[in-house]
Order: sequence, then structure tokens, then C-alpha cells
Amino acid sequence: MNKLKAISIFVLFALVASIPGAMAYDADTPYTVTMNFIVPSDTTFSVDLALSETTIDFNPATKNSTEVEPDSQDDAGTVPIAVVTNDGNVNLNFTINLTATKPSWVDVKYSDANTYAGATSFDDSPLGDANWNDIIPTGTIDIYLWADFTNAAGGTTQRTFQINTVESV
Amino acid sequence: MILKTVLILISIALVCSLSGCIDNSEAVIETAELSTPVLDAAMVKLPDKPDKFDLIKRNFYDSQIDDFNNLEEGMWKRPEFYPTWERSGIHKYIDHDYTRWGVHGYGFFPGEQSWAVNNMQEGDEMVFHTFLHTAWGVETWQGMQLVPVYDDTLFDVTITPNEFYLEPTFPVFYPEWTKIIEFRVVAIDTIPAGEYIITLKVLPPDESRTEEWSWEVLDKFTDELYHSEIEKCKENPKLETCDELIQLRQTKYVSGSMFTPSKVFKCVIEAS
Repeated sequence: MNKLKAISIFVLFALVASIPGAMAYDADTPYTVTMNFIVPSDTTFSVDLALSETTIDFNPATKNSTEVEPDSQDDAGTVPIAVVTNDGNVNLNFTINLTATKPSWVDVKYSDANTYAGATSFDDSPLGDANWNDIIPTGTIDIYLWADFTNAAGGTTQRTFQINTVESV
Repeated sequence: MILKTVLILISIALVCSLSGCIDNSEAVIETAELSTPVLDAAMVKLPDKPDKFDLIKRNFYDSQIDDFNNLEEGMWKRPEFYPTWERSGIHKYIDHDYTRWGVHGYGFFPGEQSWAVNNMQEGDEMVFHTFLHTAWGVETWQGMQLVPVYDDTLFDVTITPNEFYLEPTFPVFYPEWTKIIEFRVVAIDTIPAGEYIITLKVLPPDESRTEEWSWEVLDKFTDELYHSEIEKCKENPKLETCDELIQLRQTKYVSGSMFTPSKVFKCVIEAS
């Protein structure tokens, strides 16, 4: 029995000694660093544009055209200008905005559906559709855009369209 | 006999305490080989997988590999190394939608890290890495600039490389579809106990780079790769202009900063 006790105590000491937290630190303790990474978190997403577009171009027929679709979008044929896919492994919420204020002579609208009626105007503040929240991995969202022009300036005017994502909570 | 049993039990407890017997259900390793002619063709430009691919991947997922530079390219340049390949990636190759064009898309893996530092003083440094990769099914070359966001009263952070383009993942994976990104963090003062977060912004590359890379990409030879895609595209009844469409899509450079995941990457430093 004493032998068993002695071996158990020895093993216990070995066990305690193997735990780093049991060591004492003082002012001379060198700088140490421990790394842990949380592998499963992946917020990758991708943006597919219609046909061969890499930009979103509105080409109004006149300076007062309304319900203008970007090139290659076809709301009648249910072809959105952009489809965003959650390629990661956590649920995501999506919003969109312009990175600088739009000109006063244009009203840009978005929707997740292919109908202009009910589309929402947006500018440089992030906005999203209720259907763009809590998108599961492999899930997609459709982005339809339209622009209404009122006495628009001639030439090319450029703004950056931004898609934002944040992990759903 | 009792002694033997007790010793075996203690040994098991000891081994578990050191190596971790608790099952990590999140770190699922798929061992099934998914190989088809389509996937094989998509990966023809990538290095072969090492013999111990699954074992090394398991250890990486178990956080047993801290220095990513120790991983050979046959590991991290293969899509099977990444946790979303089987769920999100494969179908974009097996059942590709030619009515859409994968223009933008990227992600960081691991997208979140945490480090514990103790007694970090001025001049002390730490180095960590992550992989930045093109998303599945993206056909463009995406230029970008990575800018670290951190508390610059306590740290100096540099990212290497910080300006580059990522290559496409469709119709084939190009070798530079994924990159090791190094973060070098140097303390510029004594770091008080607390939690510090390092993130980054993805910005467009310098304007001169954009022009240079647009031409560089145009010079890349991809006709052969795209030829088979034109044939596959023609099988899609929704499309009548596959030749023109595919030709326009090939060898296209874009700025990768057109969308901004707000949590692309995060590193938490817990100082004590």
C-alpha cells in the first residue's frame, strides 16, 4: 500500500511539474508568446456580375431617363447585376453603399427583387434588404439596381459601389 | 492489479492533459477523396499534395503548427486545405453557372487568431501569418493593398507582402491564387496588460500599379484554358453568345477592394 502511495505521489508531482501554469514568474521572466488560432472562422464571399461586366455602368438614353438599369442587368429576365455568395463558413449580413455622396441629379435604388416598385434609394450610408441578413454558407443574395436621372450632367461620372459584410450574431 | 489499473488511468489522464483527448467537432477533416476529371483539370497548375496531406492538415487544424512557413506549398496551395472547399467550392466547378461571372472574391484563413504575450517590452516582436486566397470560381486577377489597423502608440505593424494581385481560381487555379501573409508586430513601448486588436483594410493598389498590372494580365496566355469553357458554356441553353462572352472574360484585371468585408481578418493580442 505504501508502495502504491509513493508511486501515486511521484506521478502527481510529475503531472504538476508538466503544467506550465504551475511555474512561478518574476521580473526576470523573459517575454513569451503563445499562439492560438480559431480555424473555423472564414468570412470569404464572392461577387458575380452579369455576363462580362466588371463595373456597374448606367447609360441613360436622355438626361431625364428613369428606371435605367445597369448594363447587362435584365429585370424582366430576372438577371440581377450582382449575385453575392457567402463562400465562408459563418452566417453573414450584407449591406451596400457608395463610398462618396452621389450627384444630386441622380437617384440610385436597390432591391433584392426584380421589380422597380418598392426599390429603396441609397447613397453613402450602408443599407440592406431584410433578405440580405443571416445568409448561410453557400447562400446567395441578388442585387438589382436602377437609376432615375433628372437633368443629368453630361459625360462620365464615377462613384465606387461598396458591398459590406459582417458576421451575423 | 489495482496498482496497474491506477497507473493506466493516471497515464491516460496525463496523456490527455498534454495532447488533448477532447474531440474538436469544429475541426472536421474530410478524408474522402473527391476527384473527378473536372476537378483534376482545374488543379493542373498546382503542386501535388504531399503523402501526409491529411495528417498535416489535421495537425494544422489542431493548432499544432504555428509557423506557416513550415508548410510546403503542396499543402496550402491546394484548395482541399481550406475549410470551405467541399461545401462552397466544388459545386462551382462541377456545375458552373455561365450566366454569371466571378469578378471579385477573397478571404483569409484562419480569419481570426489570438496570441497571448507576457511581459512584452519595447523592441520585442512577434510574427504571425495567415493565408489570403481568391474565393472559389473567380476568373479575374485582383489587385489589392493591405493596410494594418492597430494601436500605433504601442505597436509598429508591417505586413509582407502588402501590395500584389491574387490570381484566378476558375477555370483553373493559378499558382498565386493564395498567398502567405506575414504580420510583424514590434512593441514600441512596454505593453500594459490588456487586449489589443489588429485588423486590416483592403485598399486599391497604387494607381501606377493598376495600369502596369492591367497590361501584365492581358499578356497572360489563357486561350487554351478557356477553349474548353466555351464548349461547356454552349451547353447552357440560357446563353447564345458563349464565344464572345468567354473571350471578353479572360485575362481581366480588377481592383480587389471593390467590396469590403468588415471582418476580413482579426488578430487579438492578450497581454499580461
